Amino acid sequence: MKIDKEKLVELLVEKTSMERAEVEKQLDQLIDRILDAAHRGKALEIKEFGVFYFDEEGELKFDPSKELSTEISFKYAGMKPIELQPERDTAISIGDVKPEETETEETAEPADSDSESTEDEKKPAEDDTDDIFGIEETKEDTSDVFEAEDDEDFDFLSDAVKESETEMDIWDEVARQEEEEQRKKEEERKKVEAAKARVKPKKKKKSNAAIWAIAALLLLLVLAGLYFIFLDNDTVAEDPQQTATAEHAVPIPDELPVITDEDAEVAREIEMIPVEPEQVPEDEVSETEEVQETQPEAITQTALNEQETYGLMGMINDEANDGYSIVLHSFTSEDNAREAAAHLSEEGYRVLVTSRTVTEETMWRVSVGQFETLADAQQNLNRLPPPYNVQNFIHRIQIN
Amino acid sequence: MDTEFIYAFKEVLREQFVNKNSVEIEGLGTFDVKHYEQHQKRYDNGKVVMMPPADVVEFKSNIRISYEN
Repeated sequence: MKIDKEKLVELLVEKTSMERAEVEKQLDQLIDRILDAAHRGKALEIKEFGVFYFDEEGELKFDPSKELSTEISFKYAGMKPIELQPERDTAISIGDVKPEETETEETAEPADSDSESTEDEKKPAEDDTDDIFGIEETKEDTSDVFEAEDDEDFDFLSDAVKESETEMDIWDEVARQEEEEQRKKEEERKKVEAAKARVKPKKKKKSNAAIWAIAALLLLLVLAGLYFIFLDNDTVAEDPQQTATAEHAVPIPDELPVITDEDAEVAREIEMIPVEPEQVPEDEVSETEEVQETQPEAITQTALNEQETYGLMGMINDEANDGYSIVLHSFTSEDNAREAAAHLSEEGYRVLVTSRTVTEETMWRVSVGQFETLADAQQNLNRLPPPYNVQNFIHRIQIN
Repeated sequence: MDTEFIYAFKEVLREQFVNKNSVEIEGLGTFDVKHYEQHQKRYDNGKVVMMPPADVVEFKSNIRISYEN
């Protein structure tokens, strides 16, 4: 529905004790002041409403205040952006690494020990440059050419190389033993965890350090693989639990089917979250009564005098009706509202039953507490028992 | 312009916004309440979040000012 200036003036006259002419005059004054302030390059703030100003492009803008925004978006109060988890990509690591793994075991490792060590023996002194620099087999061709050209230049190296060679033979033996151990270990591992991600085949290396590095890498990767599989199982196992508990947490209304949602249009828009709980626990239904007038006998008049003006518990204080209240139920029928209110007040809450006209239908709101500010009301939300602590909204108290 | 009027003005507009009515004030502009569905949003740091739905008041005005002088 669109409210034009005419209608707005009517509503303002209704709200205030002023004459129509007076209201029109005031409204014009307000507009003038907003524009005047904006023209002077200032922003005019109406407290708890918003700020009017001209932006860089010279357009009149309005920023609603925090209070106004909260109140308008009351249905979604307290909802925050939720971070979405990216899907875990387990398929890639397993799929990519596994084919290579077979190569590692059958070809790479035996070749490492056998072919290279024999070659070492075949061409001891003449091809030393290979050994000392740890150049790989595949590069032999180039090194041969190299040698043909600069044979003499390398002679001074040969002595040192020979020394290191004897050492190499010993180390080769050690290395071979280690490799065998390694192979045994690997076979065992392969049997136990077929689906593990493993190290890529390393290029053949002669140096002992490289073998150690391979061993360490293998171990690390296997551990990492185990860890991830363990993690996966964990998360997979957890997920159904979470959804299961979530299902339990959502109360299924089985009573009072007559009660409808406050705002049919809104309900369609926010199907995912039932803002207003529509059920009344069966065991707590009691006699209907005018809550604002009749209070539980336990609370005496002196108690009313002692209690604070605003609060969640206690008795309704008429002076506090200029504040905010937390709406827990909304009914189309007044009787149902009174019924729900009765058992809430039995539990010691300050209960208000008010009616509001929403989309041309009268809704009876049952709300608890009287709070001076929206922030106070929001702080008290977590004092409510489930499901009220999540299914509620705050409104400004308006006594009809 | 007295406080009673300002108070009533705020109250009336707030009520109309909550009831999803748009309010047109001649000589100033139009207030509209717009509903936004929940939607995914990507922050600059790469995080993807689900933004909650929201009702937002929007103000449009034909009034312009020129900064030329």
